[in-house]
Amino acid sequence: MRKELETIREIEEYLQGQLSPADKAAFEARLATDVVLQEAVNVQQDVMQGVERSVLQQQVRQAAKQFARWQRIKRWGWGGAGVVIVAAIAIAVLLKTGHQAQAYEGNGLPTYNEAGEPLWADADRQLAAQVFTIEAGRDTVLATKKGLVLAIPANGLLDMDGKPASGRVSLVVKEALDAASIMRAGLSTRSGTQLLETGGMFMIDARQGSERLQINPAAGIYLEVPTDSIKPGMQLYSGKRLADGGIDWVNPVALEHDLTTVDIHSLDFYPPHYLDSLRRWGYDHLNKQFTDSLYYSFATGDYALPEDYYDEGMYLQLPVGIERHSNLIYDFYQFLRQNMSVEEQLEEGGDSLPGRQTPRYIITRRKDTFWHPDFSCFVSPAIVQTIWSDAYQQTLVATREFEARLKVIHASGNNKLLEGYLEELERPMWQIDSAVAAYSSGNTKKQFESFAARRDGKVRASNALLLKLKAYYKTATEAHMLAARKTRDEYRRKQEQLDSIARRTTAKYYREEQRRLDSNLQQELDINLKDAYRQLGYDTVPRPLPPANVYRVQVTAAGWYNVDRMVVGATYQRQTGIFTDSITKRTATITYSPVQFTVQEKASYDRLYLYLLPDQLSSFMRVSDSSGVFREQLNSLMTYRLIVIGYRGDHAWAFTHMDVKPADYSNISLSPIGNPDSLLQRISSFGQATDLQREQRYFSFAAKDQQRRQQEVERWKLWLNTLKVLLDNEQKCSVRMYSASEK
Amino acid sequence: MDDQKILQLLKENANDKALAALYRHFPMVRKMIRNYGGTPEDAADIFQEALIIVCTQARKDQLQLTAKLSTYLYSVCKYLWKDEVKKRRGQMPVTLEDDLTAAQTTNLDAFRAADQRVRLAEQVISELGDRCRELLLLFYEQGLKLRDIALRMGYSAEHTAKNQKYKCIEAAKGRLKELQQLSPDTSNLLP
Repeated sequence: MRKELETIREIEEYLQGQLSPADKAAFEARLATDVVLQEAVNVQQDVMQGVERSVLQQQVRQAAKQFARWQRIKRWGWGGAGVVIVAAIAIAVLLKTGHQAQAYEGNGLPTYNEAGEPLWADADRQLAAQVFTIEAGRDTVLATKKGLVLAIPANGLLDMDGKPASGRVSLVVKEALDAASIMRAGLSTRSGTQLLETGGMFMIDARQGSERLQINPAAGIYLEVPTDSIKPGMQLYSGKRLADGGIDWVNPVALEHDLTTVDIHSLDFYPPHYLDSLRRWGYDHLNKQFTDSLYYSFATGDYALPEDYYDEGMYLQLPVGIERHSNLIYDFYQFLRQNMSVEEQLEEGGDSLPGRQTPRYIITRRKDTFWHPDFSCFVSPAIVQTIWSDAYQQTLVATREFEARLKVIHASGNNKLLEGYLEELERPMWQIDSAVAAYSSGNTKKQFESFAARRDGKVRASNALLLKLKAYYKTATEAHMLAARKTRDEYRRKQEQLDSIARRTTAKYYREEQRRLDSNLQQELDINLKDAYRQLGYDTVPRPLPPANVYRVQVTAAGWYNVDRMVVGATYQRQTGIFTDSITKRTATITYSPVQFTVQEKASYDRLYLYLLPDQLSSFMRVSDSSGVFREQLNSLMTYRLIVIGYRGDHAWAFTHMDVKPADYSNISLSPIGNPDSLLQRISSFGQATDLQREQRYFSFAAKDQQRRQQEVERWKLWLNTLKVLLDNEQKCSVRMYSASEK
Repeated sequence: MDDQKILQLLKENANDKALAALYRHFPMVRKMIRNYGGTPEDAADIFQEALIIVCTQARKDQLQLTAKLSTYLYSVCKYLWKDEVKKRRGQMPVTLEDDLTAAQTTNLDAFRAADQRVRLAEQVISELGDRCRELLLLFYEQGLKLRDIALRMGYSAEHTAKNQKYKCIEAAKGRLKELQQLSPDTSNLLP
């Protein structure tokens, strides 16, 4: 031994009073003079006191923890987390008939051990038994002196015949949880030749009178072993008593730990990339109400085709009305072409997409795998809707661990895997993981195998609750599915209705418009003609002309007809016309003079209309603009009133002017009127009020309907894009389109 | 468990049972400390500190009980909290009487001054390697036989374990000396 260590040994013996009187005297003599030695003794004494304090500190902390655990157990009973051991796995309790066995008492032992063998280890004799009397038919939580907590479920103990024990039973625990008691008990921490790091050792046995009981393997006894820190890789070893009184530790099993539930609404049960994608597309991915309603709109579950379409997963109907509105539908098909696998049927009619019979169906198809009834293209949102609810709070579902598994299930697209968990809520997670791994294949299988290896346990919940949930699951899922269908069908019906209304209203408007224009033209022509004849000196009431669309009738005679033609031409083209009568040499002139208008901040109006109201016609003239300038020709025979109407959102603006002259009216500034109804009120005093009001009403309707269709197309785009996200899984379904005629 | 039994256990170094019994008084102390502006965490710290003091005093026969053990424990907690509040500047001053006798207070003051030195040693122990710490704890505190310790810790022979133990003490002493030189010894300075 080194000299320094020698000194340390000597000081230690001195401090612990282990020196012989002679040695002690000699040491003290040296100490009196040797300052260095004095200091060495002081420091060493400090170290020893430090050790002492360190132990005390540990014991105090231990006591604090135990106190806290008791508080928790008192408050929550079965709930709570910790290291939990399924004792049923570890502690084999056998059935061989024990004859007259004495009871456990202090260090005294019955003749036969829990396995029915007359064999006991030194540790059995060294450690005092703690005997608890419990009611076998009730849930019991108890704690041992050293802080093991045992939870014995009702009917958790079975008699020799495998029937649940009833009445009072004795539960016996011997424990050695800290290093000192382990050593005092003569327990080794070796497994074969391997040295183990122990978290504590214990023996459990259950008896009823002289009869040995076994732990119900279906229920297990739950055991919490107190620990300062949870170390990974801790395993539970079973003790095998050896003939020499020792114990060998065998059959290590990984420890299972209880799962802690969290608020189910703080978890994310959506498919991977769902929220991401919404965010990327610019939607409000944080609005749960929106994200839910979109996701659950896929809950209808009625995509399956009749049997003869057995290889095809689902079909969808496109919005019915939109093919009537070519620019929208065109955009929409452009979108489909870019985003979906739009196939042959669509290609054939490709040239004449807008306007012609348009494709109606989108079909997803499972290409490379065999069809079977359980098949799903993606995890049913109806199921997710069922479980992502308060009903499943405090269950396996409301855990971070389940959230992680659901992500993988979404990626597999397989409903069956999800159902595996929901039908086995009472089991430890790892057992379901293993079952699901066995059922699946490929990458999914690997992931579930690694889940199973984590040995995630269960969530303690009452059996009654779990049973109720199993029943609830089917009915609620069905209900959600039906509700989703109903909502969708109602929505579709509503849209179809609106489409049909829009079609009828539009058709009616155009009919009216045509009639109005015809009658305007007729009246203006009459006025022009009458004036032309007056100028030429004929006092003639003009004959009514045939309808506008037969004006091209060839006339052979000169005279009036020529005049008529000139007037008709001028009126049609709204251009000044001059005619000289070959007989009277008099000249008739129909004068049209240009007028133009520009409106201030024209672009700031959603819609802007400019009308001229001629005093002598029964209806208005709508002036169209070209590159921001409204141009028209004024007939010098009439006076015109100007009205400009603009809309910004729900607010109407207007400008009126009496007696418009052929001039350049620039920067017309509109004044606010209020809502469109007040506008209609305002123009009711005008000459052509009825037509004008009717037209404004239609325009407002058309603008709204356009908006609706636009929204409808956006909705479909979002829906289809989302569908793509849902289909992005291992089931490899894809979207196809067929023309409507095929169906 | 009555006071006699608890004191008996403490003297016999059967601390865990005694501590479990003493912990029953924690809720009372927690309430007191909360009443005087402390958090539940403060209460836990103070109570543990008080337990260490009471246990150590009991073992060394330094307890001067004038009433029940629980009363004393409660008073020690008050005494410690009063001190803590004084230390925390910026907090409102708290009028807090600890109900200790003058002798008890003197005794506690001395104990705590000495304890500072021991705390330093404790810190050194806690910073030792796992095996060294376990070896020392098993040896000194649990009073286990060297043979058992060697077996448990996987040393081939008793003398190896012994040798190892001395090396651990050497390491601890070296480190402690360093620290003691950094922080002046205050054990002899009574307030």
